[in-house]
Amino acid sequence: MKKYTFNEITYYQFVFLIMGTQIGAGFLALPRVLAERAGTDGWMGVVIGWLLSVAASIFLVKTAEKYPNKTVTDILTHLFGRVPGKLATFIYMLYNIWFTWIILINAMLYIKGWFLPNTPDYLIMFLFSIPTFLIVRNGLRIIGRYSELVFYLTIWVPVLFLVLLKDGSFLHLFPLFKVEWSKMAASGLPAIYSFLGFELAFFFYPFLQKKEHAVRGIVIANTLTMLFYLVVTLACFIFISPDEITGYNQPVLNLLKVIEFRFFERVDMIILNILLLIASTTWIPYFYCGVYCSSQLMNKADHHSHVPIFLGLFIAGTLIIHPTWEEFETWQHWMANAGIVFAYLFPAFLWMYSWGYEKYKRRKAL
Amino acid sequence: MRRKIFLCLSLMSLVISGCFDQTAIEDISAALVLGMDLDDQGDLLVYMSSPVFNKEAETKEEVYQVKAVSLRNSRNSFDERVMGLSSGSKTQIFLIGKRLLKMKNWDKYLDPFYRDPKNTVTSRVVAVDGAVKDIIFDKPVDKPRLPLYLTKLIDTAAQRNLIRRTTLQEFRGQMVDKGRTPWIIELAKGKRIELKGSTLLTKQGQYQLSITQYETELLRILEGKREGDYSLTLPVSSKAAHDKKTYASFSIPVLKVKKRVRYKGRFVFDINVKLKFGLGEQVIPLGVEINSKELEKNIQNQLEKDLNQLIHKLQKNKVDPLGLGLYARAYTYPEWKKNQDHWVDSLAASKINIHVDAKIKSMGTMR
Amino acid sequence: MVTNGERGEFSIFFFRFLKYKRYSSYQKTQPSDHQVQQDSRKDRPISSQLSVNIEELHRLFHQAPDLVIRNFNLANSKVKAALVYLDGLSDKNSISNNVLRSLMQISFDPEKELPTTVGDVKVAHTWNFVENSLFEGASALFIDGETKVFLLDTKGWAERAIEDPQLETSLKGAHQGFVETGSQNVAMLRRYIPNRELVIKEITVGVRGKSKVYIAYLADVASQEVLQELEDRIRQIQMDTIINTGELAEFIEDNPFSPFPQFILTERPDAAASQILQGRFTVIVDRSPAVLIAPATLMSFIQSVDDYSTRWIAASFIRLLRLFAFMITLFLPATYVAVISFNYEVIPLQLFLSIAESRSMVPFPPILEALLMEVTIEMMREAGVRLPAPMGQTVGIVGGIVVGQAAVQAGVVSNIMVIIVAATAIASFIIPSYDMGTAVRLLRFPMIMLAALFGITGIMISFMTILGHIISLESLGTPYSSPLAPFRFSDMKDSFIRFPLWKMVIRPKSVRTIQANRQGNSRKQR
Repeated sequence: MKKYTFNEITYYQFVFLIMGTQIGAGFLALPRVLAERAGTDGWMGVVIGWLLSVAASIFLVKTAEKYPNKTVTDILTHLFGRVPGKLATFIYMLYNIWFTWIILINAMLYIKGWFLPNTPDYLIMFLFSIPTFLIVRNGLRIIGRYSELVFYLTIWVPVLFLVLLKDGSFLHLFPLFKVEWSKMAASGLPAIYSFLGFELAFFFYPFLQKKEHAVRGIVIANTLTMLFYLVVTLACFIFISPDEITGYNQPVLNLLKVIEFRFFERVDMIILNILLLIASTTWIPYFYCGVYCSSQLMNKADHHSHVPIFLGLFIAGTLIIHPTWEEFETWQHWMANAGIVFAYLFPAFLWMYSWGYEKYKRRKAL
Repeated sequence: MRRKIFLCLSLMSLVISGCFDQTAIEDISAALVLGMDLDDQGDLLVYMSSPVFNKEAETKEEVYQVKAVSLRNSRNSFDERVMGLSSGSKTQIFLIGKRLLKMKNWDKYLDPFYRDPKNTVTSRVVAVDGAVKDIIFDKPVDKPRLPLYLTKLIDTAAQRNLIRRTTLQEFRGQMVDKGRTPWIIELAKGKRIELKGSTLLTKQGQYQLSITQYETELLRILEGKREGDYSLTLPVSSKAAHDKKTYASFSIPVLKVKKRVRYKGRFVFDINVKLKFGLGEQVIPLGVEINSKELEKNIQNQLEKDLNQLIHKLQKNKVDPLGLGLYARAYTYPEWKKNQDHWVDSLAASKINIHVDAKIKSMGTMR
Repeated sequence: MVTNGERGEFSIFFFRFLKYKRYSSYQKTQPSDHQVQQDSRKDRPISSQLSVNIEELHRLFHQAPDLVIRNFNLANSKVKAALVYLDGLSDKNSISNNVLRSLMQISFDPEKELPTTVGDVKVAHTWNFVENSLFEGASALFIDGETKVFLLDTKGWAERAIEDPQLETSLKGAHQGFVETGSQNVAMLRRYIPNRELVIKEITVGVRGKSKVYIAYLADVASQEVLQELEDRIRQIQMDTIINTGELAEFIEDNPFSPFPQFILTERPDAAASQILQGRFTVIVDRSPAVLIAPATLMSFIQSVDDYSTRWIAASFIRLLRLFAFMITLFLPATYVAVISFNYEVIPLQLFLSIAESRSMVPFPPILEALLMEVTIEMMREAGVRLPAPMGQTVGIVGGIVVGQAAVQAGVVSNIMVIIVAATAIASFIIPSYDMGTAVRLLRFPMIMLAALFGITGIMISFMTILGHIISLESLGTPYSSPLAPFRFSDMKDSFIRFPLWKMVIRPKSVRTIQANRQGNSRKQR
């Protein structure tokens, strides 16, 4: 039985969905965070993070493979029974919605900080919610198309960083391995956070057309993300001196700020707006999954009606709380920890549990 | 339906009332040149030159000098005087007076340019040999408005490598990085405004040394970046030419600089300059011929001599505009680790070998 | 799928404008029997008495001075007969030469064959058929004592000659456009595709005045599902009568709230034929010179027939130019407004100075200046379209002088704004499809507003909104944004760049054809 035929996504859409979910606004600060932990060796943290996330995502896909036509909510109900399954779905919903909220807040804070300092935050939030509403309402197939299109539209961004390399100095990177291994491993931790997003593959998997390529797809998505982070981080390390880099909140923007073309200057301003595109491919899938969970909780077949409700909640939340950078950072910290559980630990646990569960069931059947 | 229309209208009014951040371009008083200096009492003076966009104005430039405790603080004083809202988003030139340069850590005043994302960081940092007001209030009649003139002056001179175009962003790197010291443009006003090579600062940003235009060019060669053109004129001596005033001018189309560092009780740098030059001029009496081997030898020796002199000068003055510290960090990390906090002292004590290898690439259209 | 109630409290009127309405909701409404009932009421048998029939005719066509009833006796007999036709819809020449003359001179047996020499003779027994045929230009022969009526094909109304298409001129394509007669248009398509797989399905639409609608497609290529969908939608149209293809399009398009056209309307038979060959459907509406092509994609609106007759490199360049023009129309004025009222940091110094200098004279805020100019240009365009050609030139001259010079000299608008607006106007005319050009020109107004409110961010948001709208838009159930999303490489060969024809082996996948490969498209190897 194929429950999700109508909303099928192609292999490439699967890859770009995951990649889009992984790359959000976080990459602007990533080089600084890495440099704080391991100096200019921090870029190795990206590679470490990549290895870990690839391992975790393979676990995840292997678990999903056992139940090819079930999303994570169906699997949970199947494995744990109705009530615990509902509870788990609820937790998943909270996680996804909370993630959406944080990404939206982050984008809003950037836009407010750089462009519209006097515009009310809820108004900016309202602006974000217009395209979100249009896209999320139409289901995963449209979201897949969106991610795919945004990927092609933003493919030139890494090239921009390469332009700067001639002004930088590769000397900043040397010597390699100058910090201890423990520090280098520590730099893997923030990198792990940046790879979060592949856990949504649990939701995407049943919609995938060619399920046999799922593992390859998720590895490619992780690798593309890794390459992007690597280009960004290395460009920052090469261009900005290692003593200087930790002084900037978002070194990537400082890097872009110096690019001047004959016809326009201040590339950081443009990139920050392009960032909206990039960040939207993060918040839209998270939001969809959140709404999907909530509609599953309500036993509703479609999720349309929940979309405006949650968007309204987001706008109202902004209106009441007026989030600041500090608040955002605390929330992000919580989120990162929750992400570790959902993306790295839970799939592994679920894989083992389902293995045991099926074995037990088979023995019982015999 | 009526409720929906009402909702829509109220939303629209909400949005319309939201032109919160608009600033029309003609209402901006863009500080194209900013200057900082100290007065006789040691108080901070801030100068600003901004264009006036109005046909009724006689002059197209307004220039002000205010007393302030900081740059951002000076903005209010400017706003009390200029037409529009003063803004640092288009600042092309940052002038720093000699008096301020003699103060320690004066770079703390630059903070708003790094902190406020609206402000630019690509403005050129220029040291003024003298007072800022002599330059910023100058109105050359044969030039376009001063900011444009200065910008062009600097950019074209940088193309000939007469100066090194240091932007605010680079300047911060030069200040913060432990392995180098700042190197900025020097500007002075005699009868007219002119570029006078470079100013080298200490780690604290204090004025240390001025080098001439020729020395700047040599320093650029040592830096090894081949952007734009070099044009050097060196005396050449020849057995055939008895007249002493013989010169050769040349450009350097091919330049390769290799810097190596070892640690043997002290840092030892080997700088290999490999260049090919194209002859642009030969000032020798008619009938005298200098063969190419001789010319190569001459230039090689002369360059080596001058470069060594320059390096000694830098070492003596404890400045490292070349960023030799970066090499020390990259290749002799353990020793660097010990010396990084007093790097310029270690540099002064280190041995720097310079070897020049000059080859002719072209002689031009004359034999 | 979605009904109004389900959309919840937060559904805002604003969203509704962009809402993608699933077609299926009104697909389920029953095709009403209304039409059928109305027909059966009139559908009474013909009487055998001629006088009764004449009376009935007078009753049916009351107040119809163009109804001609010619009473005469059949040749060599006393049998009365009447030939009835509508003046102006029938060919008088044919009636007198081929019908009346032979009927009055040659004796015949009405039970057997008529001696008339017209192409087509039908026999009717009911009034309904007679009435419809009369409206179509046939003449009806009533013979006393017969309960049947002969319908003679004597169609002939004033027709326009086939001319060069007005709206879509082409340099190298054919110089004939569709005309107002449906059958003529079908014939034109046949001329381009002389193949028996070219199927033409006839559907009658309209409650009051019936009009014939033909769906033309290649039976072995086009998708049956899409055909089914198209046919269903056309059959469900309930309206008085269809005057124009545009009306039909509005009734059957997927999302009526979208600013984008979802079908191609063309008046070029060669364009229609080439689309049929790609596996699409052509809908011809009788009495309208425009032909509807479905399903359409966004990309198909920047294509033109000329692309295929010019060399592929030049054609690709022009395609890219059109795409660029599309972007310019959409973004240039908005970007300019955003930059001069918010993000002036991004302008290089020299440009900054000249913009600020020209702006300093203008008393209006940028948004007002932009809207003023854009509206003026739109007015000039519209005035030029409706006016006859000689007067249209006056509009151009007056507009050029007023807008180009006087307004700037008076200090009402800035020089640079004039350049921007002019560039935008020119760019918008490059888009080959009139409908798409209008859509883009319309969209730039909200873009300018958002740019004036939120700067570049506003533009970005509107870009994302348009993107989101386009990817969720469908034309007859096929994705509108294909080949971009879903990305289809083989379809890309005929989008941004037109690959050489022999490289395009596969028919567009977005059309969901049954026969995937084009027949042939290979080049002699050498």
